Amino acid sequence: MIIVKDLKKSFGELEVLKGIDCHVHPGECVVVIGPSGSGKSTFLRCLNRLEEPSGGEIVFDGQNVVDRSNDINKIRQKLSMVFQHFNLFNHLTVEQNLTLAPVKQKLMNEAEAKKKAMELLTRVGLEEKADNYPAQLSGGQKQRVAIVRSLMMNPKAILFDEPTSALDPEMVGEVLDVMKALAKEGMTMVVVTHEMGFAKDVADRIIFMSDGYITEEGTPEQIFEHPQQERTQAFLRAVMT
Amino acid sequence: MKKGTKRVLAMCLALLVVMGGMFFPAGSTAKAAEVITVGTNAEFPPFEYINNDGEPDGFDMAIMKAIGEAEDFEVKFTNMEFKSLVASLATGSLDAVIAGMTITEERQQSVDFSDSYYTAKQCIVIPKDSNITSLADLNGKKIAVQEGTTGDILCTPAEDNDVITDENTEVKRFKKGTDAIVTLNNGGVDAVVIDKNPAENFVANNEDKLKMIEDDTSTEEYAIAVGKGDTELLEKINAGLEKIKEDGTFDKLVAEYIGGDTEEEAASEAEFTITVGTNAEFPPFEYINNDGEPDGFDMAVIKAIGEAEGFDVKITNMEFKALIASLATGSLDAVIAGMTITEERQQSVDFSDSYYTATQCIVIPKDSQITSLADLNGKKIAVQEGTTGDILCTPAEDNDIITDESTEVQRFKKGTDAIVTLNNGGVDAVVIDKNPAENFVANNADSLKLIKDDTSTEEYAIAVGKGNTELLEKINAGLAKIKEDGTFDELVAEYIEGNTSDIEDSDGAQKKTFLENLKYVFVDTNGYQLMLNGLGVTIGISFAAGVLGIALGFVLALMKLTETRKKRKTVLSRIAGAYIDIIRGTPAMVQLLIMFMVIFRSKYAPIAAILSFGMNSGAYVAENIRAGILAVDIGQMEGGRSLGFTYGETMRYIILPQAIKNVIPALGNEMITLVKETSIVGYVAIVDLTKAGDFIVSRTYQAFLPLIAVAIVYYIIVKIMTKILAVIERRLRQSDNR
Repeated sequence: MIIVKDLKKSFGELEVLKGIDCHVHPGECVVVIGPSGSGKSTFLRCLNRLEEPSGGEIVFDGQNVVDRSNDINKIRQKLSMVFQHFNLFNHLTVEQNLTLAPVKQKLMNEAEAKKKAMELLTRVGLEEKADNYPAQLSGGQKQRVAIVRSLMMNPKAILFDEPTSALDPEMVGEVLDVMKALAKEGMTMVVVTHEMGFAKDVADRIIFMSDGYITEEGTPEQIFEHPQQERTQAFLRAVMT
Repeated sequence: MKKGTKRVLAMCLALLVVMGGMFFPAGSTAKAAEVITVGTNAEFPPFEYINNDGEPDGFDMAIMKAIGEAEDFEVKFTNMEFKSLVASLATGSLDAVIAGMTITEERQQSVDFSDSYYTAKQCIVIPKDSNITSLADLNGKKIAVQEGTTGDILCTPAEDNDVITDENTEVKRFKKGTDAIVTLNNGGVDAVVIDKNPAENFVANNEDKLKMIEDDTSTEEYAIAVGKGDTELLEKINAGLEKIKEDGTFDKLVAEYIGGDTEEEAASEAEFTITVGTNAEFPPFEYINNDGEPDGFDMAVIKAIGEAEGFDVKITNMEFKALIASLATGSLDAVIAGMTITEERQQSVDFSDSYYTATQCIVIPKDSQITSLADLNGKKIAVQEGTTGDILCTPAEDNDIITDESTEVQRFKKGTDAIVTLNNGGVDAVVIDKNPAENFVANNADSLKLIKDDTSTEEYAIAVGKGNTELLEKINAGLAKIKEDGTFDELVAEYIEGNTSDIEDSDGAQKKTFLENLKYVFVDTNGYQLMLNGLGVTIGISFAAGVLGIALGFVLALMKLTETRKKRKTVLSRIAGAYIDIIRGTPAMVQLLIMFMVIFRSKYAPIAAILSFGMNSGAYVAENIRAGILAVDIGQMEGGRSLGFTYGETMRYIILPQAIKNVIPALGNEMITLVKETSIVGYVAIVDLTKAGDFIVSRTYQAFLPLIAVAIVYYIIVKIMTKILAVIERRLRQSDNR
């Protein structure tokens, strides 16, 4: 589904990604972990070109994301993203947040979009908030709406950029539950997170990043029970205590 | 936003209506026994035009007044658009209409016409090289006419129009005949069809470019219209018309108003043209008339001399102190500006024989102890800059009278400003020539008096460049001729003695109460009309400039934002940046003057003003909008882009709606500033609210009431805008409610 070859990204002098190779299969839930500054978020944001890669190749669903002749906007319709800070559109109601993109991009008509929005909201338990503005929601509610917003596009894969990092602890669970359900349904997901419990329980594969490289990858069991690299062991010791 | 601006306009219109109501007490149009209200459209010289006092004047007005005198009724004129006249007769808001109106069958269905008082012909005015020879040739051409006139009817393809049958004929309708001619001169139309008299006037003024063809098929009869069935008034008018035709008044008026114009035509066969400078701030010798042209005794004298000696005169208006220098540089051939012969001036110019003897006068408050020029030592004196009064009052080596160095002389560009300052107590006296002084005192009979200073008798003369004896001799010869043939005395009677009669009228003026004064300032001298018109101009210019400014600011902001998007300077951002830099770095006033004088060549002042203010505002609006856009969280852009929206779509659907909310307060502030900033349009001869106030000050010699009234009106406009902004802001903030 997503094939990454020798991905590099520099911000000026600073080289953040030094050559990433990986392959995300359809229906797979890949969780990216690693210390701060290791390039996890940058890696994720390169995947849908919110950050312009400095080198390498990314192929999503058979299309080269980096190639400028491909319409990145069409690619993004099928490769949604959920942000740490939700990025809901503050001037629109929940329902309008959900229907804006599919309707304006003529993927659905207004009625279809509304119907789908209500279905998805009901699934995440927010059907009563359809007419509220984002400012009237809690953080957990906002993030669930944001996930629904990306689902509205019928994406082939969803990128999660630290989706629970900005939440109060008691709200983390409700968001992770939604993500777990998605993973179970077979949605292709790439998740950058610090939630080791989620990584352990839900991930099909864990990628450990440090210093701009993928230094270790494997099943949750391999990474959490038998980490090979010293860097991985140090990180896990730090976060698991 | 659109909705908001519409509301602003609506509120302002409402304000206009309310103000109108304040000034017109209920029933002001009620028909008094001996006053009839007569409508006209003062855009049709010489039959009707607005004179220097802002009143309708012309042949028709004179005829109507003469009829009124003969039949013992008073006439009150109301100026309105030509096409509204007939309708206003029907509703009864007018009793009669005199407006060079042709008797037509169509009109006879709505109104009754008096006997005809004038027979007019339509004329086709065309460029000299045009092949058009008859009305029929105009088929398929572009024609300019004055809206609603006979020319309009003649040229507009219609079922009953046998001459112009081509449906492609394009008829441009102007409110003013002069605008039609300007469009013809600019090549915007092929011909102008208009009544013969104004046509002759126009062609005489453009004889190097235009010619005219009389259309004999379209002879018309002008008559006075009254409401359908108002036979009583109709009979009176017909009787009066007969009387003034019998006693010769009618012929006199024809000679004065209509014959006078053809004389000008004859004079234009002159052998050469001289450029004469004046400073049109010295009534009755020189002032700016309603057409914006210098007028007055001096202008009439120099033109009469020109006619007598066979040369054309082109008048240039400039500051008094620049006149002599311009003679020296040769940009002027002569100066006539109530200029006194002095030794000092004789060193730079040659003077003609004196054409007028003037005395300086000291204008002082009624209770002042000053009795002579010598009493002014150590006092504060206002004078008109560069005049004899200035020289007399300024302490100098050769000044024997004012010797006290502490004497403070305030120099004004306008005599009226000096008088206003005197009225306000800012100075102790004004020293100025006798004629304007008499004028001023007559208008302020309750507060001012004047003392003639016989020691300062002066001779006014026409100045020519040093050594230009040829012209000097011609002028002296012409002056002698017009003195001999009585022209000169006629002009003195018309311009100067006409003013003294004013004084007699108001000698009996009593001290006015506040309310009487209010009525005097705003009603009797038509101040409210000036202010209403000015208000309309202010609102119109502000609104148009505001719309332009917001549109331009929006584009500039997006141009500048390309820099933020690309993270480097772009061509677009550089252009926008330079534009904003230049506009913000120069005064709005200078921009306005450049736009009007340099770019528009002193034409189309309102368009120049709108463009200038719009462009100025655009620079500030651009920065407001840009700041508003940048204030929207970057995550909103990422959120939009991650859903497959393009940059433009994200801007449109997500960023801008949120940015507007941020921008509204600053934008409102900018629009409020704009409204007030338009108060400088007076500098390009547009009469806006401020200039209207200024006019009322000049006309009434009072500053307090008109200026306070102007300030209040601005305040109300701003207050309304503030309220509207608050409503818009509250609506936009809806999504912030928790």
